[in-house]
Amino acid sequence: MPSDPSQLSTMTRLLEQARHGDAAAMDRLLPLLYQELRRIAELHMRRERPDHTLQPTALVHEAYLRLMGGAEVEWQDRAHFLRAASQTMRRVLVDYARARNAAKRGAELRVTLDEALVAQGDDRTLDMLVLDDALTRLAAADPRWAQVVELRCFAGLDVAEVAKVLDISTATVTRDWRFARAWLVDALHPEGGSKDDGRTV
Amino acid sequence: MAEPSDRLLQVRALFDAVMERPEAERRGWLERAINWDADVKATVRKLLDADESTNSFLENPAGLPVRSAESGTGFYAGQRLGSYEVVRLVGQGGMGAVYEAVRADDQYRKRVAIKLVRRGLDSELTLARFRRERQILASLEHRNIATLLDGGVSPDGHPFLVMEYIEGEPITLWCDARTRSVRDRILLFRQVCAAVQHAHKNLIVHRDLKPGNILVTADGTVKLLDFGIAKLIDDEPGTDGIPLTQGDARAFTPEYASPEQIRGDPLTTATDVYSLGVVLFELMTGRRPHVTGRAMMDVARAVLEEPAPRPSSAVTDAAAERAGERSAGRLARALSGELDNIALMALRKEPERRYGSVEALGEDLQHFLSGRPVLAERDWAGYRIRKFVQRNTAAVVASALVLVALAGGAIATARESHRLRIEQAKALQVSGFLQRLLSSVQPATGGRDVPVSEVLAQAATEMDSILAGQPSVRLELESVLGQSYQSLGRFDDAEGHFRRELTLAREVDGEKSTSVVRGRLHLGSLFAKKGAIDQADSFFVAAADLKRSLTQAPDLLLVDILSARASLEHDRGRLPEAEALHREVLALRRTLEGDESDNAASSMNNVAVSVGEQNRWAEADSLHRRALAILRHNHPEPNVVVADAMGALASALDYEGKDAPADSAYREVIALRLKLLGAAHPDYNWSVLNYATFLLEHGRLQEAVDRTSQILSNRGGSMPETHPILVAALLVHGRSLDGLGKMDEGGKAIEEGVALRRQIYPPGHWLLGNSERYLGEHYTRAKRYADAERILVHGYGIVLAALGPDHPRTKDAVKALADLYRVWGRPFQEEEYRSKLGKTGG
Repeated sequence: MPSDPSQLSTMTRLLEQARHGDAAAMDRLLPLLYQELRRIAELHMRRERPDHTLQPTALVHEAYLRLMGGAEVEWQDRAHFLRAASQTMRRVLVDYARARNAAKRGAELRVTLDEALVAQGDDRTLDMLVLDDALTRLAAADPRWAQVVELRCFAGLDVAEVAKVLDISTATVTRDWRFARAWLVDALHPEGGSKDDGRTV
Repeated sequence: MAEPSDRLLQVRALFDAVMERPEAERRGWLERAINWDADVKATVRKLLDADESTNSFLENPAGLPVRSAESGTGFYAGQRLGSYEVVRLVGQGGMGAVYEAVRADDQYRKRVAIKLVRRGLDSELTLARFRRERQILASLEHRNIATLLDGGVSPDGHPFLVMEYIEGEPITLWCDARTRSVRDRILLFRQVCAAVQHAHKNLIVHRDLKPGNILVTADGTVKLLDFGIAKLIDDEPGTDGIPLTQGDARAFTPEYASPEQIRGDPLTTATDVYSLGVVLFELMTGRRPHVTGRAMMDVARAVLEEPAPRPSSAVTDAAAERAGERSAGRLARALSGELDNIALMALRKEPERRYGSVEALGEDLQHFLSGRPVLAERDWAGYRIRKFVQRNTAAVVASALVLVALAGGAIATARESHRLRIEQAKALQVSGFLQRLLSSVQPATGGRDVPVSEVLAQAATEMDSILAGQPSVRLELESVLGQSYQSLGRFDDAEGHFRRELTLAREVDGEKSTSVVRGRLHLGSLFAKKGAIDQADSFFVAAADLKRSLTQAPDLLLVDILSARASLEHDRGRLPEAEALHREVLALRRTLEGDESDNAASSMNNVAVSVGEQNRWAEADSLHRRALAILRHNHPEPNVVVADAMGALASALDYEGKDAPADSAYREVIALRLKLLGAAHPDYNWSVLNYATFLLEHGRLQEAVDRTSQILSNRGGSMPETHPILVAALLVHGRSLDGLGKMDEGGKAIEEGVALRRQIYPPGHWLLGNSERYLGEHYTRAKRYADAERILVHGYGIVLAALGPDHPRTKDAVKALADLYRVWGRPFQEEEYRSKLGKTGG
């Protein structure tokens, strides 16, 4: 079901205020986003995905649909939304992973950042906590690098769209992305090789 | 005091600097870089590894974008599409988005899935095609195929399809979750085969079979999704025939794609056989044949080059456990042998060496289940054939092309399903026969490399014993062998096979039959190639007469006859007659195959060539461009027919004297053919030679020599030295060297070319006269005037008799004589020949 009208107007209003520099609006917006992403993820975990695989970009997309509905939105507001949503998505996934790890060892959360509609193996999934840690270290040197990764991986934007959202050149995004990707690949798979195919669940 | 993040900034700076270098230089540059900490350098070294391996998830995250509004497919929740109300987004992919929806005007609110295509429709024409395809897909009814219910176009121009909503799990996950045994998995997989087979009988190829499209419902029924959707989406024309880049996701999934799909070749039902092979492999072993988690390009390369492992060698304990086996060893034993062979037969790189149909694959699995011997054999031949193909590329390509054309042609032309099956069965038998031959030749000759001609010779001798009692298959094979020999330039052997084809046609189908017409047509075309024009003509006339007595209505066979006659008239230099025939062919093809069909476009090209040679350049130019536009529209991705048409356009521009556009058109054809066909393919070499000739005629001699040397490097290796392309290249090579003042070298090449042509072509062929002119021109330049006179007069006699006085080649011969007498200082004789030139010049 699409979101109810009152929430919709809240969202657009908050975004507009945030755009005009209202820090308090941003503070109210993030929990709203978090709540919505959490709710969608829950739905997916319970019903859709017997194997507990999450597709972050689809979730962010769905959150957008629910929160903004068909409303006409200024580009800057969309950019704001995407930035906030990709960061929030990362938090949601981390919280999930922590909760799962605390609950029981066996069922770890798998995240797929791939476009496939249905997970087809564990090659493309990764440990969210390790990724989060690596992103934090990356952000310590330059927050923009981590932002590029967030927007690409958690909001599914392409280079041109990331450039637009962050208001930097596509060449910069390309360089940031290439570096961050290599760095993360190295951080996540220190031996360079791919994981054993047989390892599942 | 180096703070971690500071060091990271240094790493980044060095990394960026390294990445600016060309790829090959990066490592060396990094090692030589000074002023950097050793550990910074070490980190960057690791990052380079990571960048190159780029495995895993981060490779292609852009597939699932929250698109910006202008390209949006994601803004429909709560809205209506046609008579459906969108409930929620189910998922997104490179092609578009999938929504759950309900029929808004239904009392019981039926659930449906709506697939919205991301790419918009850009013209009425594509919309028409979308509707046509949709109709075909809607006619596909099978209990294992999700029904296409409806379709339409969203208010902002995105096409969408409405399908039955399937609640199910991918077949692999379904089986794993329920610990299904290998046998159960195969039983389930047979349902998949049945569904795909049904679609193939309706001439629909899926093109994107993968577990995600093969769902199993709670009650264990298989449901296939997205039949034919990949085609629908792939066929949207791009802007300018430019291939879609990696980011612009193509409508297939690399891990399940067939080699031909990755190459961008035309797809047939064999592509689905391959993808089913991947799914079967995964069902049995828990993994795909080519290890994934690699970059897209690596997966693609593996699919093209690496042989698939035997499933029994690919199992793990985990996979065994999911299939209810105690250990990997036990699962391996269950798969080893027949199941290995079945999967690998479906996974062969060469489409024509796989199962001939999904039906055959399904039946072989049934054989296995019921304990009967399976057809699939261990692929001993695979390795040999690959080696063989590597060493004999051009010749093998030629005969493989004929084979593929035969197999593919049967599929393409058969419109009724029962005929399709008969033709496929026949094609399979023919190619199976040749395959057995290829593998049997090797041991007999003690492991040395075998020229394709030997294989063909052996085929001819063994045909009698192996195919006794199967005259209709033999008939087909004689025709294949004839065409193979013809494409190798071995005209006498070709003639023997075509004659036997004709005899067999009479025996099998009777004197008054289309196979006799076809046999005559083949012989006629062969004689035309040999330059025996009168004989060719009489075969064509006989073929046409018989054809008329069989049916009055024009059909494609008649078109073939007319178009062979048109080429013959063209070769004779009777251009108006050729043009009239080509126009007739064009009109017929438009009626029979459609205004925008590939073949109509090719006929248009032929009209254009004959128009152009009558110096009506503007008309020719626009015909060429129209043909090219049609073909580009039909084939948005690089394609051989587009390359052919572009080649024709290049020649036309060349003749017309539009040098710069001709130059770039030639280069484009060369690049395209290289990409599509590879450097050893005759067609690629022909386009290089055409360009070399252009360069020679424009005095760019060194460039010409570079090109001809490249072609001649095929000598002794993959091509026999009498291959027509090599001989033609020798002549251009020699003339270019001559022009560069390397008279000895040039003369030798030309003399050799002339001698080889005398071996290949029968006396009196105009090509002999033409090459004698080249030799005469060389003697003229070498001041060997008496030799020049003798050979030029001889050559002139040949072209005059073969082509008549008005043909451009005849005029070339006359001009060569006039030029000789001028430099020789014999004005009287010069004037005599000059006057012949002036008389009809135009």
